[in-house]
Amino acid sequence: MKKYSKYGYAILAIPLSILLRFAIVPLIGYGIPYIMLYPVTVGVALFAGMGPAVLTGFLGSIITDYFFVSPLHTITLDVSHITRLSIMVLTSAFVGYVGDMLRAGRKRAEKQALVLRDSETRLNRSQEIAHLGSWELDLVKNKLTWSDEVYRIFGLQPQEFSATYEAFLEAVHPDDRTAVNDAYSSSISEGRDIYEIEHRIVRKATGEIRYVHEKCQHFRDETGRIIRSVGMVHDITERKQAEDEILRAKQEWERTFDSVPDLIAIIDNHHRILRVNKPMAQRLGLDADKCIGLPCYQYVHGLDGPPDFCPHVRTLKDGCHHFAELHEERLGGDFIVTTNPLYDEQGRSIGSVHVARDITERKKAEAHIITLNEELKRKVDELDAANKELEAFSYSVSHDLRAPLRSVAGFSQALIEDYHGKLDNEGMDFLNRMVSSTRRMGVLIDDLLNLSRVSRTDMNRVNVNLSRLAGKIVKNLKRTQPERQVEFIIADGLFTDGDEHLLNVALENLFGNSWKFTGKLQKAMIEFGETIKDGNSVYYVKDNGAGLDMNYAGKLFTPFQRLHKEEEFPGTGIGLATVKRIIERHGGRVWIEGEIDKGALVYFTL
Amino acid sequence: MKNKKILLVEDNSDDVKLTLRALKKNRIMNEVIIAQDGVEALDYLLGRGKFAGRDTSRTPQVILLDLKMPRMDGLELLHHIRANDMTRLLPVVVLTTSSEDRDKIESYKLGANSYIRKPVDFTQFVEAVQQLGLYWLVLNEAP
Repeated sequence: MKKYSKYGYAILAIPLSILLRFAIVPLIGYGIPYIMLYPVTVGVALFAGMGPAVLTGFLGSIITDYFFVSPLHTITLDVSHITRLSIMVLTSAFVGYVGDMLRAGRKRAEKQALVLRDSETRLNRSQEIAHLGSWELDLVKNKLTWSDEVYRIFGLQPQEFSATYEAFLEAVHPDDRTAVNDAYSSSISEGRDIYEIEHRIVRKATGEIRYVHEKCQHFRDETGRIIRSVGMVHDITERKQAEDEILRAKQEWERTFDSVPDLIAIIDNHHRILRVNKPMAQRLGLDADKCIGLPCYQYVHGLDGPPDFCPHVRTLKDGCHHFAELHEERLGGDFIVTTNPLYDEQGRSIGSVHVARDITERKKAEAHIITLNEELKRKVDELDAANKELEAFSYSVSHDLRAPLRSVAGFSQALIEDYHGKLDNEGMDFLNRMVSSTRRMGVLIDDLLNLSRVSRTDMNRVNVNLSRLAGKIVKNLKRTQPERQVEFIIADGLFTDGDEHLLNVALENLFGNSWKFTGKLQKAMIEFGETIKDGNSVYYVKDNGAGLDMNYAGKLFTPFQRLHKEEEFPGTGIGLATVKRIIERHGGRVWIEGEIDKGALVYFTL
Repeated sequence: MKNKKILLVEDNSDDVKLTLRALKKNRIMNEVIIAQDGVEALDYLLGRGKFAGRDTSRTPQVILLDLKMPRMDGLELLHHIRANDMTRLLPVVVLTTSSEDRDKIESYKLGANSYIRKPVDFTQFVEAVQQLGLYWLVLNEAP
């Protein structure tokens, strides 16, 4: 289509040349008839090529001849016409050829320029993708150029400003500047044509730190002078981060592996150590890397071959988890050894993970506990025997000691009754003393039996209402001596956990004491309640009776210890000892405070 | 009332004497048969040994039983008494020196009707015997 339109233009050019020739007829007449055809043909040749130019020349000269060569308005084919026509056709062919050549040349140049631009774009894209920038320093013209990617790596807009070495140094991390500068200058001073360096840069706008790898090459002229330095800047931040991550993960794993207190060894299918952690290496007395490849049975068990008791052997056989409790002389103690199979990426068995937990201390503690238990059992047996003995003793006291006493008492009484006429007053007095002594000894034996019973009976812990117990005791006391004037203050709602019978015995003794030691007062007062002492809740029984000398207060809780004469206040000295045993059996404490003639105050905790 | 017998099982002659004195003091005139241990008491009750031929249908009104005795002690005797159809309903009063819980509990378990601990003081003992006689010989109706 385009091809034919060229010929169309060529035909259109002909009337143009004819019209132009007519236009200048007034100026030059009919001389030089082709004057306008030439430039038009050249134009067609330059713009449309050789073919259209020949067409323009050929047809144009015939028509020009028709209008401007005499005889006018005829087409004559004589020699001169044909010669002129031929010259015109040849000329236009030549000019058309030249025109073709010129256009082809321009087209080629355009195409080359296009290819160049294309490859530049592609280079730029590749640099962008690879994060690889390039620079070039022309030392002759002293001109530095950066590729777009260099700007991007440095966090700048491509070709934002003309590249300078100073701008480059400014982008380098302050801590790396000296090293970067030294690398460049030393390569020049030492005559090395290639150098490379890894350093950090700081993006000015964001403060972000990037890692780059730079490689540079110098080019020299024939005299050896460096005329050009070319370099590349590779942003390796992502790679570096990935490497750091891997390194960190590796270090973390190793630290963990080494900081586990258990002794860990990875053992292959041939009982060779692949790896050990620090505790294991220390127990083996070797550096961790020196352990690699050693046969485990030799270094762990000190044997010539793998033993059957080793769980690793069993794991190798069945691929299952195994464990065993082993005493390992070489590792210095007792261990629970567990082995778990280990597989590679393809799921093939490559050995086992062997973890030994040191249980030496536990074993020792267990042994100690066993010893303690045996000792305890022996002591319990001894205690049992002692208790049985005590029981037998109590039984015989109750039986064998009382029987003769009863005889003495009975027959003395019989003497008094049947023979009072045959004895003088002194004799009767002796007999009366005997009877009262036997009575006293009877009470003493009974009190002693009660004391031993307090220690022997089984505790039956229940919720006990102490206020109610106290109320009953008070009632009984009043009944023994209804004539006495005693004011009782009993706190309400005192509850505790304990053995009701034993606590009753204790309260009976305490109230009994207060009752006894206030016996000589006109206005006696006995109080039972609860209070706080040194931050702890304590019970107390208080009276305003004979009181006590605090110098002897401690003695009162041991059997037979009394602070008063029998004639003054009767008693066996066993009551408070009994109270103490009861309170102690409840895990409590009892103590007494008082002053002579100012009453006594017994505290106890439960 | 007089023909109601008391069987006193007691090995200690002092205690026998004092018990008899206490009975006398309380004017309890019933016949008292004395057995020195469990074997002798059982012989009496079943008409055996030195009591062979005794009319065993004449049972004592009450048995006063000491616990600690040679050959057969009180608890064993009590067991035999309660095991035998002839004697199982007899009232048995344990009269002993012991105040041990286990003796008390064991006695009642074996079927004792009463448990009295002999006081050391003779006056108190006399009082105890008085009440004992009043209850078991007068008030109580034997089956």
